[in-house]
Amino acid sequence: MILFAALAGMALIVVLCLLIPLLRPSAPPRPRAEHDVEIYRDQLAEIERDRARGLVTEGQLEASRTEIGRRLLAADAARRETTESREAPHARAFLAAVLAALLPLAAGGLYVWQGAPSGPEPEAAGARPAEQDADVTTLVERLAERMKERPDDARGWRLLGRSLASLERFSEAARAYGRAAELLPADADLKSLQGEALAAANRGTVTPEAERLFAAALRIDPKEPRSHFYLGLAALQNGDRDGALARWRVLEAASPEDADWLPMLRRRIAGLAPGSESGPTREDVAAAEEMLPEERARMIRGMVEGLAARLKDDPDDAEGWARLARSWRVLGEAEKEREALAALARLLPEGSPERSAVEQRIETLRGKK
Amino acid sequence: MIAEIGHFALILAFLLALIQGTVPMIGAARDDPAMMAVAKPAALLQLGLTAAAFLALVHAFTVSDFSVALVASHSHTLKPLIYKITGVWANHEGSMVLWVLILALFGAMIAAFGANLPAALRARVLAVHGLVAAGFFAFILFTSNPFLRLFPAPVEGEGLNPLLQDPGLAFHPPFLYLGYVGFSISFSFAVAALIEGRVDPAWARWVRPWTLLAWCALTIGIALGSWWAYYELGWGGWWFWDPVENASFMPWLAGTALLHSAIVVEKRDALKGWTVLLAILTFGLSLLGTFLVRSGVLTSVHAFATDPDRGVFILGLLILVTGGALVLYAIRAPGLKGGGLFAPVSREGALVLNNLLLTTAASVVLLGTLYPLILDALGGGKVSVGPPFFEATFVPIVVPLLIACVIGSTLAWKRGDLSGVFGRLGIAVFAAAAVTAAAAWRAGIEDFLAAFGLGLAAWLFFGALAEFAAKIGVGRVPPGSVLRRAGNLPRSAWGMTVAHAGLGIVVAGVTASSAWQTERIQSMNPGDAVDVAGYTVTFRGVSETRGPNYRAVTGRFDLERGGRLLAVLRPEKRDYPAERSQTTEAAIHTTWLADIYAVLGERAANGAWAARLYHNPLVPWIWLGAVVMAAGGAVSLTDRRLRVGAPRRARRGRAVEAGAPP
Repeated sequence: MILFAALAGMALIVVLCLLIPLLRPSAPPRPRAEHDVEIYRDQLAEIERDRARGLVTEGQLEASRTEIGRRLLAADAARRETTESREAPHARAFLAAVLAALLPLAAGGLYVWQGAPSGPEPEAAGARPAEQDADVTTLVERLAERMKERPDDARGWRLLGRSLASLERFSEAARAYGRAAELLPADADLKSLQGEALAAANRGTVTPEAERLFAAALRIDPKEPRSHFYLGLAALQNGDRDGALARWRVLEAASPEDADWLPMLRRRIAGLAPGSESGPTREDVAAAEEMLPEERARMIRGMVEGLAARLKDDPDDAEGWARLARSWRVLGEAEKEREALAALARLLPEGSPERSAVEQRIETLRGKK
Repeated sequence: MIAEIGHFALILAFLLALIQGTVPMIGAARDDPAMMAVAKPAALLQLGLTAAAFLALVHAFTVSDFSVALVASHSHTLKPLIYKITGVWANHEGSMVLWVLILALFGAMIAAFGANLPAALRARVLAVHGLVAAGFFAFILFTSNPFLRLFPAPVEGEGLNPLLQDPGLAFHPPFLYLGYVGFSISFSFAVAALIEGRVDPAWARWVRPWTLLAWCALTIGIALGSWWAYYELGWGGWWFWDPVENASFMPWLAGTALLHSAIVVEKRDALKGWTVLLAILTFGLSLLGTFLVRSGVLTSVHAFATDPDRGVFILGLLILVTGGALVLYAIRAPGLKGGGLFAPVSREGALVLNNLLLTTAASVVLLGTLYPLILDALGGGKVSVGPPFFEATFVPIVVPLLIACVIGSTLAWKRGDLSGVFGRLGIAVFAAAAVTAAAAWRAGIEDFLAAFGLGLAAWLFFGALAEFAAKIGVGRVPPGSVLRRAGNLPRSAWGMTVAHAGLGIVVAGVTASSAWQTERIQSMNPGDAVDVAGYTVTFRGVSETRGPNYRAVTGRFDLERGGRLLAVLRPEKRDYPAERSQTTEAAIHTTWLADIYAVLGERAANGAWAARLYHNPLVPWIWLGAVVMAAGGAVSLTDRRLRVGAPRRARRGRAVEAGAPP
């Protein structure tokens, strides 16, 4: 509506400005020859100036004077036979009416044809009705919308960040984690999650900003494994193979034997270990980075299974169940997603829009089966 | 919402351009002042609306609104802010919006400052200008709409070609477009004059400043483009006779000719038909340049913003605008009355020679640029017309032009006297001979052509100064009055001297850097040293660094002369992960007399790095000279003559007073 008013206002201003000269009585323009006379006079004056500067000889001066004088006389004669300008008020009023009617019409028509007046604007994205399909994206959008009202909810921001990361919307995930980290500055995990999302947004490159975040996380919790892993990766990307290897060896030693990142980490270390080859070339680094998405999927699966095990012990964590359901959805496990959603629905208040959305999603999943 | 407002503003601007192209034209034919007066608000509003559309696009880029398809495909959240903004015109759609913005700016300037133009001429000029603008607005709206939306919006954009993430290139298109589009004013004046059937000195007075403005901008634009190619493409060269470079060079040559022939129309009321034709051809060549760059008919380093489908539209526009104007010319030109007569040896004669040589040079470049395309289109296979062709054809045309340039500028109007000329230019002849001899002695007689080129540069530079000195009476009148005379001299005379001297500087840079470039390409291990034209360059190894949106391998080269460390050169090879491409950043150390230029190449299997090292003598003079030339144009623009022309009683009185002898 605001858009429509703004566009109509623009069209109105344009039409009004065009009509002013048409409807206002105007003075007849000066005859053409008057302009010519002016220029020839100026040329004569300039020749005088040139003479004063000593740039022309007397002979040249006389010749130019005669030439310009002749043109001046001709122009002056022409000035006398001025023509009457035609006044046609009716034709003008007609033209004004046509312009006033056609311009907005044509502009509107072209805009409706080409523009996107009803396209969902960013601020309207969360305002879709709950009856629509409650897929993960919608849930995430709704969560994002809710965070606008509760910007101080660190847990909410963390949840949003994790959800966005599971949708591979890594830049947004990094921003959400960043908000959470602002609220909980002493949380090492948040900082390293934000760094991971930033690196993922850059297709695996650990940017200087991400590197700072990992370093900050380690200042809070010197054992934080994710930060150690990525700082090792950053060292490798910087050409510091030994630094990467040293960091990863420390991480390997500090990791519990059942940690789900250990197999991946060991493969990486094996790829770098001395003796295996003369050293990593740029191609090796590139290949290792290309391997990353697959490894990331394996890492995510390990994390998700860990989460499912934890929720068995703590079944009242609604946020956890929501996260689990989304994770299973991303991994394509419809049955496990449905189970998680059922556990989640149990915890949500009866009749709340969240609950009906979850229930609808369960129905959809049943229908697919 | 802001993107939608921008879109609507563009649509309104298109409709306004159509109104501006028709109503005032009819008004001028019917001699109806009210209808002619519609042109002014139409032109001003068109500027406002186009600026609004442009700002809406800038806004979309700066806030990374990826629901605008153009932003999604050409920007990235991690890009530095300056390149988000310059990214607006680093793509096809955005650059066309910049194009029409500049077009609208020129139209609004005629409307705002054109009060001293005869009313009918002003109405017709603005109408022609409006029609040209309407063609471009239609091109944007119907084939290259920058405001198309993308729902759902992607989370991240696809980035910008890293070659374009560079300050030199960021400001190259605006200047180039100011030049290209500026010639549209000369074109509008030419077509308006043909419609009216008269070309008079008032017309020339108006055409000249606009041509000058466009010419200055184009000079800067070409220089920036060549500078960018020099330090970014990493080949040590600054001009490749690439079709896109030629596309900007042809209108420059024709525009330079137009600049000079407009003087003859104004001063002597001669060469009218020719000047009108040049104005049409200059803009035609600008449009041809746009067609070549924007249609995708070329495959060159500039092939970034191309789309073959749009070529048809631009080609149609080119044929309509240039063809239509030429048909009008064929009908009306025979009716244009000739003016003053002149002898072959005179200022006019020299300017005719200048025009002949410049247009011949432009045609040679045109032939070399289009021949491969035409041959390819006719199924003749792919050929490439490269520097050897242009050096063999362009240089022989330009050498007499440069020799005649100095002589012509000292000749008197109407009837000149060659013997007096050599008296005035004796010092320039001496300087040219001395420089040629010194260069030939230093470089060896086999390099005589290059020595001759330097001599030519000296001839231009000192010739321009000698001519100026003669004008202000150095050696003839006491020093005090020399200064007074210099101050009294019209600004256009100052401008000519500065521009011609700048041309001399350019010629010196071009000659020396082409003839005496030293190139060393070799594989180096850390610690290796190479001798390049008396400098010692030692490779110290590489390190990896990271920028905001790229990773880089930086080489370190110590530059020494006589055992003294002059500079550390750090050329880079950058890898942009988001755009998945690599660029080379040359490291340049300049002494203003020469550049040492280092490029880091690939790493060989044995661990050594390929390095390309160049010594380019006088190469900075090319851009320095171009800036001096443009400055000369700017000085000339301030000449009071270009501001006169309104029938106002007060000014007339002043003019007569000023004309009275002191």
